[in-house]
Amino acid sequence: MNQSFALRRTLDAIAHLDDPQPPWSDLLQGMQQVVGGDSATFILLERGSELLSFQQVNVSPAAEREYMQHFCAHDILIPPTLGAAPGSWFDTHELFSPAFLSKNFYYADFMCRHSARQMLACIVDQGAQRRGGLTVQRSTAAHARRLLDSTRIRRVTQALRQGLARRDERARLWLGGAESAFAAFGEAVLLVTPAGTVLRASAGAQEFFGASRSLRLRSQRLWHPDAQTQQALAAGLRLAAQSRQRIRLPISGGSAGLQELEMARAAPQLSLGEEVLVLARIRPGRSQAVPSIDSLCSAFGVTPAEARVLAALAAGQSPKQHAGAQGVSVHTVRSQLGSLMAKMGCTRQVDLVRKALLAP
Amino acid sequence: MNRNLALRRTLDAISHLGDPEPPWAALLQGMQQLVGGDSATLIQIDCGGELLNFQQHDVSPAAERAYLEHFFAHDIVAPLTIGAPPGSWFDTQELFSSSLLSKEGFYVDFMCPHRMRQLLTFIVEDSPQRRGGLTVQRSVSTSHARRHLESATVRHVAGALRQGLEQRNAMTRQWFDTAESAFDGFGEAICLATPQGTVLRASARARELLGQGHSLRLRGGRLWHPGAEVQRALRLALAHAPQARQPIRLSIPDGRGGQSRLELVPAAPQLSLGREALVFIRMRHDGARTPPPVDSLCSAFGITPAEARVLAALVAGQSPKQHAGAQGVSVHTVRSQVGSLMAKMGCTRQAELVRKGLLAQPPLLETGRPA
Repeated sequence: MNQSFALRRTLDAIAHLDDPQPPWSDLLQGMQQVVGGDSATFILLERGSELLSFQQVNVSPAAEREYMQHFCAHDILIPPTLGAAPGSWFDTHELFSPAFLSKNFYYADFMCRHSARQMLACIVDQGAQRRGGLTVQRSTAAHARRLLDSTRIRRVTQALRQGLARRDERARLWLGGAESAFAAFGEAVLLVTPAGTVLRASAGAQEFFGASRSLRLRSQRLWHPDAQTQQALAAGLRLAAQSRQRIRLPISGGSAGLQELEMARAAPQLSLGEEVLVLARIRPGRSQAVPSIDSLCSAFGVTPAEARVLAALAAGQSPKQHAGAQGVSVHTVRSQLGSLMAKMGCTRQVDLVRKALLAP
Repeated sequence: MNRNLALRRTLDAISHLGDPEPPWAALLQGMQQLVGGDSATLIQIDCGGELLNFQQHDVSPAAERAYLEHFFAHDIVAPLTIGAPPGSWFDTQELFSSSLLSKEGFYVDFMCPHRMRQLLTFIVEDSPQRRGGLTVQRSVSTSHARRHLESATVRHVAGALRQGLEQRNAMTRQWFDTAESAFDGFGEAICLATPQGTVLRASARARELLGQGHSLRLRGGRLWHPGAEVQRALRLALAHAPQARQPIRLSIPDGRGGQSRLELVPAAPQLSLGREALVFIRMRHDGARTPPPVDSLCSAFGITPAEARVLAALVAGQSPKQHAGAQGVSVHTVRSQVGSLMAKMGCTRQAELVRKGLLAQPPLLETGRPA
């Protein structure tokens, strides 16, 4: 394909990095053509080495499977790129001598078998929790530094860096807005990978983890001391990421008693590549407290006095106790009970309690 | 004050309209100086004609009180500005003849006693839900106001003000859109309303919820429920929400066994145009709830599976007799199980058993709709 056409296509794909779901395949394909290679991958790792997302163009299914299942852990480009600035390029041909490569089993058993003799990787993300690189594979190795230093590649790399920075800024703004909206309801939010690595936590969430004796962070991962809860947490995160289900997990031991963690798949604009992230919120658990009078009035169309009787029953008082506490006669309360039964379509006190507790 | 300084100060205040709480006092003062008047106000009205906001500069306390308590309803400019595009100017001297003014209560009994002879109003907002105007009051009326309003300086400031207000509006919309997608991920709808219940913005899910013919709906642009008690509670909650320290929770039956759960909190200041107090509401609609499963009751209370089945039946609304019939066991067996439940759960009445059973673990999984 025409080089300048490939360049235009790549820059066009980069310009769409602001979209919630950018054209990642076009971007990969364009980079492959501009850099000159046979396939391209976009790999995201969490906590240094665990695979978070793998996207590719022109990589054979066999190579993809082998990489994901086994060779990812032995990727020879991961150690030397640690800590490198986004936008920097790495070339296996430059990094490793032929003698080293011939004895390296990642090169011999993975790269060569899938006809990749050289990898050129551009670092796209370098955070404490997440790193990512865009790699172009070549079937014949050749000096590439001059190409990588050329104006054309520098221009694409620069555009890519800026595009990713804009995307990151948008995600940050989105989360900042979401944080303030949830905080209004006393809820804290965090952005988590399906494996439990916390990429970002709101001020409220950080405060929660600081005070919590149950759910907390251990080396940036969500961790719960109770093995069963930890298992449910891991399963919940996976399910929330894979399906469109919302998962609620009660967690005790926070500073405010019973709380719950609710997990849902995060909006696509928070992701890089095709990684799936989970947005979780920590919220006060289903209230153990008595429903409010206003809320009972609105739920059942009862008067405030009747709602007070209903709230007392729901709080575990008997009609007699309530009459004593309010300084009214027990007959008054009984007649209010009758009126509540009529309005709420109940025949027994236990039904009143049931409805009152189920409503708010 | 030097006009150049006034111009710079006003433009500076306008450039801060993107702040969560812009310097309204400086802005009103600057407009008053530039337009040439003795006081300035910012007034916002909702679609039902209720006053949402009154901010002023150099208006006497007596005039403010008289306007808020009585004369607001008789304002002579407000009705004439309906439908006027933001950025347009109205001048009472142009709108009314002096013979008409001399017979107008608002002019004779309010404006004149408070040393106002002419009002120059700049429309800041005009939407179906809400409108607003910035007015400069003059103690001496002039027939040349229009010429001054069309001078380069005033046009420049008015243009900047319009742009600033549009930017603020865009910022609010972006905040709301973000919140919409964040809450939508958890199956919740949101809307922004005035304390009178006029809905200013609503998420797609909220529009769907209010448009489904459930009992909670919009009437004349306002949240409305046909039940008198429900409507009363809703009105109270809306009125109290701007000052509430805790979210106000309301649960409103949909008439089909399910309910809409509403939570009301004060809206963040960046959601307001001026200093009007607004309410941020989130809602979710729940179908009829399923009782907790038997095994979770066993573990929660240390009871046997048979006892847990009895408890689950009570929680589901069955009587001991109904449960006995359904299970094909004698009612005496069930009664003795109820007795054992009372002992194990520390209760003395069936109502307490149901209460504790209901407050046990919430269901773990909630199925969302495919997006």
